[in-house]
Amino acid sequence: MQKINRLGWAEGTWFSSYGVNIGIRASQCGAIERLVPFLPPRWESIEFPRRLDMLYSWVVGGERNPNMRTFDVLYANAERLARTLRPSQLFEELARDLRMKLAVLSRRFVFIHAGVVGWQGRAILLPARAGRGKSTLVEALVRAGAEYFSDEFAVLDRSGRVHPFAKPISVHRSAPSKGESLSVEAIGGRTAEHPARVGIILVTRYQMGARLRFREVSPGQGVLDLIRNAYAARSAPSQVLRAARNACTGAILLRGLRGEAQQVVEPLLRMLDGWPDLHKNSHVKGDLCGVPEKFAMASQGD
Amino acid sequence: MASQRSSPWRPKAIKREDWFFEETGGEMLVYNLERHRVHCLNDTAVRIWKLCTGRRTINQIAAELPMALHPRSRELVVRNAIGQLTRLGLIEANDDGPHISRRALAKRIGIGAAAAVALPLVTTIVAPTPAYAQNCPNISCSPMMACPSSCGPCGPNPPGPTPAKCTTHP
Repeated sequence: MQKINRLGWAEGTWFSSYGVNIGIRASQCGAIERLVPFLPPRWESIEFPRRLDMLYSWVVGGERNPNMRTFDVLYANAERLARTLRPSQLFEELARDLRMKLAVLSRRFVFIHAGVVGWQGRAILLPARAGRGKSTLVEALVRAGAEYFSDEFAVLDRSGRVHPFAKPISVHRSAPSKGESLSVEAIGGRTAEHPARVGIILVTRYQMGARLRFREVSPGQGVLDLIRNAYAARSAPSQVLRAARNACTGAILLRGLRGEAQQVVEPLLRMLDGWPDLHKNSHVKGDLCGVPEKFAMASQGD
Repeated sequence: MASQRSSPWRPKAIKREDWFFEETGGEMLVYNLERHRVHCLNDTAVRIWKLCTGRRTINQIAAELPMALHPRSRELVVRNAIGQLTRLGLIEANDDGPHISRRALAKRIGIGAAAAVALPLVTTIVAPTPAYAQNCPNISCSPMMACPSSCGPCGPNPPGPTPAKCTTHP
């Protein structure tokens, strides 16, 4: 780190996002302005903090003279993240690493790898690993009128409410492929501005031709589903456990396979339309509550 | 036969100070900090665990269970739960009789799949590392870009533990 500190730094800035303090410095004046579009949602400038969680250092490359081109190099603390002749690659890497560091370092919030949308004041969480069709389902739900929270993180506070993390939606049209970024506005959606309580947690994955069939699970199993996808499960287990438990309390918890995203959208949203009534019957021990039956009826009706 | 043994053992629950316990809707979640395992005890398992105070014998615990089963079957249910909980370190170990698997238990006491949900069950998962939970698109792996050490195996669905270096993409 001392070696990096000794390089000449022309400018620097500090910001905070989801309770994580981050610094960025660059070797050229005016360079940091180019990074602004790649900073995480809800970032705000701060004075030099007492505690800095991460420091990114960008050695700006480019053409010094017609015969010489130097690399752009990006460090996260003392670790070299990227060395490239294409700054766009460096920006993408910075954005990806920033999101990752927020998810791991945030102590005020618990980050779960999940797609999230809002409907009727309640959030629908879709926790899953990458490649399970989260973003596709989120996109379909947003097109159907749901509020967009995130296609990557469910950001839970201690009381279990979900906060928006509105990055552009990444859609992989053909896997494995480079993701295409879609802005929510471009697909006619709107971004949520306020936190919401969890209405449904649905653990599902796409399987070609699968018939829509979900089953309800117990609150304990719901918590396990969230922990399976939690970034700080090992570093902050008590916070993760508590936030996950609070998120599952009173929510409808479902698991199952799905076919095409369109098949799921309407039944899922319809389930939250009647949420207060369904909630009264939810988690009745020893027998299935009314939710799966209603859900099955809704899906057959389509 | 288990009932003929009339075991004098009085199982005692261990509540470790350095583990995390959370209750939700009758179930209990336990985070084992040493092995980074998360256990979910269902309603029946929690009830049995709480009855293991070190003062009750297995027969007495079985008698206190609100289950419509023959006393001998109830004892088997308790033995099964205690076996599972002992393996997790939630009950003081004691080599008292054979442990019985959940499937064998359901078969021996003759209950169907629907009623089997009431049998004691402990579900365990491994707490994920940040690399395992994260989304690591393969676009970040190229000769130009150092694959970050925090990055899991590249590809849409990381299947295993974190390698130090990305090798799946040249």
